[in-house]
Amino acid sequence: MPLIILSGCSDDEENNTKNKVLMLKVDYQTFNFEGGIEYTFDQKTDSFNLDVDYIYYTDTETITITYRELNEILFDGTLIWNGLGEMKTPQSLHAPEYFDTISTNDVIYPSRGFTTLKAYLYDWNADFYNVWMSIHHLKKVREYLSSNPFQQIKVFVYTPRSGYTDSNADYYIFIQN
Amino acid sequence: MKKILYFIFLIPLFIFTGCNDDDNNCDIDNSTNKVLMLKVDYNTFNIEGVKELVFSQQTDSFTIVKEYLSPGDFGYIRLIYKELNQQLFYGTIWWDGLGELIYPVSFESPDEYSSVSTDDAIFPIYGFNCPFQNSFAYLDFFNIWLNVQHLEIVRQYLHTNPNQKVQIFAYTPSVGGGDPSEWDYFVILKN
Repeated sequence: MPLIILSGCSDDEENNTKNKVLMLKVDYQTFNFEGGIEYTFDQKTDSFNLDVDYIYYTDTETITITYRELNEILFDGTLIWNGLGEMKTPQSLHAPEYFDTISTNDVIYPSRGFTTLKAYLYDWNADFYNVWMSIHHLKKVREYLSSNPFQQIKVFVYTPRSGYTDSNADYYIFIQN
Repeated sequence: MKKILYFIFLIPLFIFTGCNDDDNNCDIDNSTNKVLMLKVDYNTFNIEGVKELVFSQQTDSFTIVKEYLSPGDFGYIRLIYKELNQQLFYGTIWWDGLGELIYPVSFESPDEYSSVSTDDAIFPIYGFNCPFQNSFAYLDFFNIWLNVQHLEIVRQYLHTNPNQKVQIFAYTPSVGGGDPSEWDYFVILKN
């Protein structure tokens, strides 16, 4: 009997065995959840590090976030002084409606907190509490945190108007399953 | 056979005579007056050091007073345990330079300290206090706390003294052209 039970494999179990990264976007000023994307990778890695490369002193600056262990770009965008840069990678995000929410009114917190993705001359401040409150109720967030509960959640701020955390700026949150 | 049976009956005794969850303070000596200081990286929020300061004398209260000399060019921040007139922290600050942490002299590696095995997050019921406001640094109590609350020693201090406000401040040894990668947060708890 146990053999029969254990030899089965549900879709959920298969999903959990894949290496996935959830990237969510939250408005810097309003804390509105604005969408996200789920990356899936064939290869698993023992660690999950994100490198931030900031190219500055150019007319159009660029900022790139790379999954170090797989050399995969998760985010790439331009920044323009007195103008407005744009996100190049990913090309688009799922709308907030794509993400189911839980039906309960409980709040959970990441037990190892958050870390920031910054670079030399690319500095910003984060209101981690309000960022978290805008996404903790998403089913995907609960699933990812449940399967990988001891991760430090990675937070990045994209400022398409270079140097300004204005109404165009957004938080990007990275969670690994 | 009897010996085996006795052993089976005694197993629960061996298990339950140890540490119980309610106490959660097996390894801490509550009779000693101690202050726990944690050093947390300003950018990554990783714990970089743990220090326990032990005092021979008990006090009814725990008040931190600051001495601050604004850095122009040289400055410093010193925190003192008022009731005992004992130094808790002393670091120098340079404008367009790099100051130095003078006291505590050294910190233990966080690797020496274990984390709880659960994924819950606890918070101090009376919240936080900042013994030294620093206009150069940004202070986010929520995340600094989340990054340290999982250490068993932090839980023990909060369990022993649950009515305390956790003290958190930022030390910025370099200001003016300061580099935040050289800065740290410090978290202070009293047992």
